[in-house]
This record gives sequence, structure tokens and C-alpha cells, in this order.
Amino acid sequence: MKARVVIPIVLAILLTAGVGVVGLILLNQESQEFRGQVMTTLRYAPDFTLTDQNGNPYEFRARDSEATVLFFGYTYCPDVCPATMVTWREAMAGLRRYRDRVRFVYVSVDPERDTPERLKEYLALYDPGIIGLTGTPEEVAAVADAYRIYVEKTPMPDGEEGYLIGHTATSYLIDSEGFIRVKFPTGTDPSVVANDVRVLLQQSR
Amino acid sequence: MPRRTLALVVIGALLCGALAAGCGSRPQGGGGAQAPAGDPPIRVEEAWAQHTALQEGQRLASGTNSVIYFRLENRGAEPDALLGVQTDVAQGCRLHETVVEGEVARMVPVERIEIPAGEAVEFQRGGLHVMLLGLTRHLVPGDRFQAVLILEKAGEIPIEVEVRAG
Repeated sequence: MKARVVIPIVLAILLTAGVGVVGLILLNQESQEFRGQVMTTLRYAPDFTLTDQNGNPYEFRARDSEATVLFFGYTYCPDVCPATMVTWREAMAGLRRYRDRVRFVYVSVDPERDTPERLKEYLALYDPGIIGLTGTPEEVAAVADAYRIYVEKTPMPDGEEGYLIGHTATSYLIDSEGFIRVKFPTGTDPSVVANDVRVLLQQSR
Repeated sequence: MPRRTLALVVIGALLCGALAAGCGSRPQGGGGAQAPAGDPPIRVEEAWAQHTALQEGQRLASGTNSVIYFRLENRGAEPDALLGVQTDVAQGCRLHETVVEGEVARMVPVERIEIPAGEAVEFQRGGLHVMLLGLTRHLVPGDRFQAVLILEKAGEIPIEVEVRAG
């Protein structure tokens, strides 16, 4: 009588454990495919020079890094840009041993307000390892044009001080040959960014 | 007999699985199933604001903005609408919605946000938010501050907002 009850319970627990283990293995298997928006036509990521958050000139050449994640934003942006920074922070954490082989680059589309000091303070809120770039309005406009970044300055409603900037809010994953390979629209899950960086790095060797 | 044993094993496994799944998922919403009579119809949950500094004492650049998110639930039988927000930590508050067209994100001012009876409206990243214009002090993770939501019917609802690092 006792065994009739105990055996099924033991078997049930073993079966559940078995299913759980198989499930965990499947979940942890690393995807070999990009999960962001894969570029169907190859676009080259142009070189440029701007000023980094420490005030030093920064020559951006896509080929200088095995992988680059690039985003255009501004530090006074309250919603979309911080959301992207939080995504990056979590993606960086998820990259673990791949973290050092990718650089994250934030280019300001608001050079009038985003000084190197301001960028430094702002990026430190998320990850001091992010490279923040700004420059003169002409320099920044040239870079935005080269990357086909739409930038639209709009005054605050109700005549308040300051302005908002509507802008292309996509992050780009660039490979070591300088091609934009994957686009991450705003709101992309950090795990997608981490996955695609890892897949790119695994492809590159 | 063996058939019964097998059935018990399967049922047991399903039960264990259900239990495990239950442990992993967090309860949704505020926990209470039904609002007791006399409870205010509008409930505000998970009110948080984006941090602007990691520590106290940092210089506050003029025009520093932030944003508040929360979940507004209308448990009443009447629709209501959020008209505005007030707080001491900013010179102004605006209801905004982020709209993404193609790849371009813009913030659009919103005059009122309807909260239909029996429904909830999420203010969240990349969507509806309360923009805090011209902060009067930095918002540091762990800080709390007071704000007041102004609703068309429910009137003023004081809330406490927690500052988070995103």
C-alpha cells in the first residue's frame, strides 16, 4: 500500500527533474544566428573624428575593433536614450567574456549642450566603458549625415526653456571589416544585443 | 495496477511542473483581486523615476530632465483621465508619449490620458511618460520624492516615486 503511493511520487519527481534539466540545456544553448534586424544590403560604416568624453580627439575607424555597437542620442533625452543605455548596460553584463572585444560608442546629436564633461557624467550613470563622442555642430552634423541619422530639433511645447530632438534611435552593430551588419531598433531586448555581438565575434575568427 | 501507477506518475509530474512554474512567475498587479468597497478607484503602482546622478553632491547642469513611469489602474465603473502631474523636484511636468516612426523616435506632448473603467494604462520606456523638466535637484538611485497626479474625476492623488538606475 505504501509503495503504491511512494513509487509514483518518486517517479513523478524524477520525471519533472528530467524535463527541467533538458529544458535548461535547451534554454542555455547559444544561438548561432542574429536576432536583431539583419542588414540585407551591406552598408559601410564611415570613418570620422570627434572628441571623446575626456576631451581627446577620437578617430573612429570601424576596422579598429572586432565589433562596434554605435548609437546616436543626446543626454537631455529623457526616455529613449536612457532606455538604450540601460539596454547596453545589461547587454554588456550579458556578454561576460566577450565584453572586452566589443566597443560601445555613443555619438551626441546635441553638440551645443553635450560637452565632453556632460557626456562623461552622463555615461558614467550607465557604464564608464561606453565611448562618448561630441564635437562642433558642423562635425557632428557631418557624421550624422554620413550615417543617415535623422536629427530634428523641436522647441519645447508651451515656450519652455530648451528643446527636444527627434532622432534616429537605432543602434548599429558593425563588424571588423567596417560593415553595418545588424540594426537594433529602440526597445530591443538586451539579450538580443548581447547575442548578436557574440555571434558576430564568433564569426570573425 | 501498473496503469494506475502510470496515471499517478503523470499527474504527479504535471503537478510538480505547475508548482515549479508558479514559483518562477511573479504575481501581477497589486496583489489584491478585488478592491474593497470605499477604496479609491484609481490605483497607482510601481511609480519610479530615471536617475540623473549616481551620488549626491554632483553639479546639476541647468535643464537636466528626467522622467516618471507608473501603472495607473482604474478599478471604478467610470472612465477617468490623467490631466497632469506636479512635483517639487522639477520646474515643470509634461505628459509625453514617445512615438517611433520608421527608426526615428520623437516625443509628442499629450494633453490628457484616458483611463477607461476597469482598465490599466502603463507608463513605460518608449511610450507614455511624465517628463520632468528642469530638475531642481539630482535624482539618485534609492531616493524617494513626492508627486501629485491630477485626474479629471478622482482629483489629486499623492504618490511616492522611487528613483531607480533605469
